[in-house]
Amino acid sequence: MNYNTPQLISALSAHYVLGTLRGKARDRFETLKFANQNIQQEVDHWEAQLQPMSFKLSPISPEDHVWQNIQSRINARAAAMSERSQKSSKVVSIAAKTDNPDARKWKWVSGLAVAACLVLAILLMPYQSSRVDPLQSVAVINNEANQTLWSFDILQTQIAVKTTVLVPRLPNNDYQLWIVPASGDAPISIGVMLQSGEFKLDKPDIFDNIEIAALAVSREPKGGSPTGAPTVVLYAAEIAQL
Amino acid sequence: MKVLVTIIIKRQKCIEHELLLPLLQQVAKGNNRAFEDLYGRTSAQLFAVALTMLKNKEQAEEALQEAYVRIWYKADYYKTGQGTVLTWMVSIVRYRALDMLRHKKVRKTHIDSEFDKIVTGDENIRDDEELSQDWLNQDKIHTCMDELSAQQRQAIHLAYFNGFSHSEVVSHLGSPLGSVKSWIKRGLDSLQRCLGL
Repeated sequence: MNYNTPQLISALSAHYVLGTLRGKARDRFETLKFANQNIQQEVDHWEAQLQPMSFKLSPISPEDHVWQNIQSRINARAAAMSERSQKSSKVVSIAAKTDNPDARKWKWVSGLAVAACLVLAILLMPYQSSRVDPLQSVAVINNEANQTLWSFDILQTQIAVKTTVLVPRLPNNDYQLWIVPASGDAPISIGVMLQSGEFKLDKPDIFDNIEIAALAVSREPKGGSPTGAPTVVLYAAEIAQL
Repeated sequence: MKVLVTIIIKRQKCIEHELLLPLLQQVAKGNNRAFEDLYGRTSAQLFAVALTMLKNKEQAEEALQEAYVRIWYKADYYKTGQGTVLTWMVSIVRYRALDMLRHKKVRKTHIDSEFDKIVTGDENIRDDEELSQDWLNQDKIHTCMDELSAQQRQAIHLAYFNGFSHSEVVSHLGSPLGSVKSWIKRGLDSLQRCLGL
């Protein structure tokens, strides 16, 4: 589909904001949105114009425990990240902190080739503020020659993906990212990936609620798996906790 | 008269922005007191959004909590080109609720009786006269929605407020899928022209 058509971008953006863009189409659009400034701007415009519809709703005050829960979650995550940060500073010798207090970027060093295409890398995230969407864990996928194809920053709410130039372009297919549960249950889709550049995918809620054996990348028809299961699994990588 | 109304609306928009933008900027710096203030000023509106979509108190609270955690972590992602602070926040809670509807299969079959009256039908949607008194009434969307056909407006309302998919709008209205898709598409086209997007 040609996403460079302004009319199409506008129509899809409108359906995205309204909520009628669903399923795989929504996943794919979200992925494109992160990488395409025109799409992001169009979504911004529609959000700015449509969301005031919600002001027609009479406000309903939530109960006090909602605020307490928000505070608890933020504090718990900040404490957990602080603890992890302290541990990683002792264990991960390749980690290094940045001097820039506003920096959100992390440095990574791919480390260990595990098997044919399984690779684990250890990296470091400098946390200056508990407010920044914190880095929880990372994963790196290498090819058979131990060259990095993708790196994944598992943040609190999103997964930031970096694609290297070594990722083969698939003109007639898409790459799709999956959670491989340690329980042996069926893989759970995270989303269709762009074939180049840096972008973010929303992290599914289930990510933090199950034990994960690996992240996997599959080759799928355009738009993503037609069955809800991976079609051809190409790579997998363990996740390194920080 | 119309010019005067426009000026007033623009002023109201500025007021909202003047109140919330500095708070969000402080939140971006990790100021928890500002975050609490922001929550106090906005949570009732966002809770109404989540509750209307999810029709379940616990799920709506969950959506609200997740939304504010995201707001805490993402405050510095806000840019003025994304609309006002409040519309940006509404987007976050709506997308969260849509995710929950999709992945957790939360649905209208489980409606808390306590909130039944609030979130079913149009009881919680304020009329224009009431809304005109509200400082939140700030955008052209309400005028443009009034210019749609009744079918277009109803279909878009169901999708927006209830988080309905096309097929759910079909079930609710008992109309063919083709008609519903057409109403929503043409309604959005009309809104685009009216809003000057």
